[in-house]
Amino acid sequence: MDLLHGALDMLVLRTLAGGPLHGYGIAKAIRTTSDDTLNIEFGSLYPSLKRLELRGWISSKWDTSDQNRQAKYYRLTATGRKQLSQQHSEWTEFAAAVARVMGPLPRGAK
Amino acid sequence: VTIWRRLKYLIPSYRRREEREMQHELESLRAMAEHNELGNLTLAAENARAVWGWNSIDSLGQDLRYAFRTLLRHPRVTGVALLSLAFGIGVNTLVFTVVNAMMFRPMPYPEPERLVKIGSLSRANCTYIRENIDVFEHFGCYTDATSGSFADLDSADPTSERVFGLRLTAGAAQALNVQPILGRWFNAAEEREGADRVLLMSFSLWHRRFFDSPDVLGRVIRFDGEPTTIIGVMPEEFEFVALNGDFWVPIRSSASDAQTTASNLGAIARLKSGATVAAAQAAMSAVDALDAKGGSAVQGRRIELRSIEKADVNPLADSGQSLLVLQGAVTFVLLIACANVAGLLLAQGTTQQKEMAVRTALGSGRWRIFRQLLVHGALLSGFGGTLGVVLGFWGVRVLTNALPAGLPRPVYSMHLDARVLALAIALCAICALLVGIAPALKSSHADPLDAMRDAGRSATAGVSRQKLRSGFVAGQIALAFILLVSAGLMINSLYRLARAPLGFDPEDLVTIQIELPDAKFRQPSKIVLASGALEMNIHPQIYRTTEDIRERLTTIPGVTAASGIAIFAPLSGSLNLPVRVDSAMPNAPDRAQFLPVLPDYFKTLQVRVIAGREFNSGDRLGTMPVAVINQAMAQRFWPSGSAMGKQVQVDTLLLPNQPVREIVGIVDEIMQYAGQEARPQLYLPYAQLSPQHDERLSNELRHLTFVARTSQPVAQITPAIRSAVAAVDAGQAISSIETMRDTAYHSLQRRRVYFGMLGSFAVIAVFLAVIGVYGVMAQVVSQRTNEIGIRMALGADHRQVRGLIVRRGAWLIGIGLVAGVFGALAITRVIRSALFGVAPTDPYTFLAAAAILGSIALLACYVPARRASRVDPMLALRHD
Repeated sequence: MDLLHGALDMLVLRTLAGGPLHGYGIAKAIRTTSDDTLNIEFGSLYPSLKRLELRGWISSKWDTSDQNRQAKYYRLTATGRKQLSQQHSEWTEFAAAVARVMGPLPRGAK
Repeated sequence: VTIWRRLKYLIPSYRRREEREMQHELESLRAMAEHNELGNLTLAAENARAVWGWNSIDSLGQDLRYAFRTLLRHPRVTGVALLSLAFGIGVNTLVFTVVNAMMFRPMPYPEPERLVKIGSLSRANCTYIRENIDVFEHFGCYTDATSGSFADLDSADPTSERVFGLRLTAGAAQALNVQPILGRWFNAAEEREGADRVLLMSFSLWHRRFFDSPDVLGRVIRFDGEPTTIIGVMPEEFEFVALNGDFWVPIRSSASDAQTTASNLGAIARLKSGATVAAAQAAMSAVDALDAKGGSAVQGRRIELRSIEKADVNPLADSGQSLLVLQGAVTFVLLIACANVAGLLLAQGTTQQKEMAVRTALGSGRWRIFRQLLVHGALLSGFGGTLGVVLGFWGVRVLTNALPAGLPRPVYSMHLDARVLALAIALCAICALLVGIAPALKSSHADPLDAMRDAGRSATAGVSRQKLRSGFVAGQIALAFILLVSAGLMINSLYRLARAPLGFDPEDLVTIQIELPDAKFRQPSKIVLASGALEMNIHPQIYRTTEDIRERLTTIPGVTAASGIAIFAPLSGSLNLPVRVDSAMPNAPDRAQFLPVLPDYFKTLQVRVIAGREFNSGDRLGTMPVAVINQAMAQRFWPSGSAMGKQVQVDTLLLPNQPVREIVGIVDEIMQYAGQEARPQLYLPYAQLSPQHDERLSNELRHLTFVARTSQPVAQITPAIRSAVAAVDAGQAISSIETMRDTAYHSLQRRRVYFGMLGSFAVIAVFLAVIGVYGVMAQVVSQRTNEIGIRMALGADHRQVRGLIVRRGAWLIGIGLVAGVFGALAITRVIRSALFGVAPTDPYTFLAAAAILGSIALLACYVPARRASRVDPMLALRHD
């Protein structure tokens, strides 16, 4: 659970690093950036936003969208930015380590 | 930050705002996204609320509402539970208020840790310490407790009152650093001989005699017969170290040598800030060294110095044990109350079992159900506790009005304070756990399948709960029995005490208390006694005066005889002094009550003179020293043969150079205090006491109680008594005139209050335990309705059904009583010292208690049994 929460929170933070987005925008951005590999349930994404907001890593504000619609926009706070850079380096180290262990499969392995 | 925000979520309006905002946001997103692209938004919102931690807030609210509804839905159960808890917590609040007033009082001085107490110093020591020792910021001396007569001749009430207090120096007051609420402390100039006499009085004396009037300052009253100016009133909570006094007057210095060397002073000092007790102790050895060199009267003595402790301020005396007993009693009451409530909740749990099972089956967590029951218990305890505190508050008021005189002072000003409330809250929490946990454990462990089947239709519903509840009831009976036996033993003692022969006839006897003024009848000599105290000379005029008053009293029409006794009147106490018989060395230090009396004492009290004669006016200084003893003393010292004509001598430092006295009479025992049994008593003629005494004893000897035998009512004869005393000395005030009956009644007042409290606790305990029995039996009946129906359908008659239920109850009560008997045998030993004329295992009291408790409890079984026997078999069979 923690890993899942953690990973999702990290993805949200990373997505918001590109600029403020509303909830739907975040979901779409993650989907497109991952080439449709990560299709995150909104039911999980939304609580993640609330959790990050509660921790003070992101903040929200009502604003007008491109289509002239009212939406709540989330942006990274200073602490959120710090948190992201820390989690980012931890994640890259972790991913690289996993990649090294996994490597290409030896011949004969099914 | 997170915690702060979560705390804000506890505010409902804030939560509603957040909720609206969230719904608004989700609505806007739905509008943006394609149909169903975002999935279940309700779930998203629910998950968000979980993130905020609202679920637990909501469910706690639900639990509270649910518990509240349950309480309202079962008004009878709730009523009984609240009543039980209110009594349980109420009596505990009451007793703790007393304990709180007695034991947990802060010391009534600022920075008490800097105060030290120094033992037996001479006047010279004090002067030396004041001038040469620099560890003390303030230093002052005081005398032993002393009594004086206090009279305000100019007021409407000119009676004199015997008051206790202290003489001290201005330095002692400075060391304590407590300021009068009115007026001022005296200064060093007022300690000099010849200065105007001044006095500070206690709050209670001010209240008693001057009704809190501020005009009292500067008023001149008679203190020990001397005109004295009132210069201050001390705050209510003030007391001098270990002594509850009503007055504080300066030690007046005189030029006499003897007074400067007698080591009869205590001292109190405030250490300079930073100075240690050890340093002060070291400084005292310099004083010791000086004393040794100067050839002090008391050789090889070391001056004792120690910090002031709580014990110095709060002498618990003998009330410690009675407080412990009361504390134990109310703990029992609380346990019984908790068992009642837990039993009720258990029963309620049985009827709610189906509901619980449904909730469990629908996925309600065990923890949730457990918590639900705890919340229920907490709510009950909260309400019950509130009622209990109100009850306790009322109890404290009732008790305060019933308190007899002579208890440690703090008890009179007891009140419910923050500490008592904190205890009440703690008790509520404990009760919540105690009453909540048993049903909670039972319910949350129930297997939903079993429960639904069980609660559906069964003759043996909730068997394990029933067992638990029966256990509670047996325990309640046992505890109630122990309390009832203890109270019974005490009431039995009180009854015996009130009927115990006093040794004299208290009817038609009037007592007149008189305090002979110090200044007139006492004079310090120039001798320091071996005890370190100063020798006092009694003016021989005192014998003349007392005899004159006695003779005047006998001439009052309607008075058949009159006499008097010094120090303690019958039923008011005794002073025991070492005695020596037949000039032999005392093998063991034997003591006898020291009772100086006037002529015709036994005739006036109508005490049988078994052998010999009583004192007459011929027994005075210069004639043969004589004594009269009681039979207990005769048997103790001369078990074989007659005591008549034998020799006896009072052998104490308090009364030096006592002559060997010849025993001229033997009398029956007179009770000097309630419950006295076969104590050696030594009577001697007041007029035959040598005029030289230790100052402390001479202080007691000027306190006289005259007794007059008359059939006239006390109010009618009072004017004649007043004029008889005034005829001897117009300035002599009278402290009190009352009947001996009243004295006898007052002598038991303290026990009456103590036993009264214990008795009421026992009654409450029995009442609560009987409610417990009734509750469990009613439950048995309602759960066995089905079975009863079958039995009746098969031909059982009303009597058999009733017998079935009552037998079951009797069995429980029997177990409880047996356990109670063993418990009581173990516990009543604790109260042995409070008993009189009855053994702590007195079989009659045990039998009576068992009969009373057993029959009331059986009656409580009979009511539900009767209901059971009236059951309509057809209805019963359909009952689920």
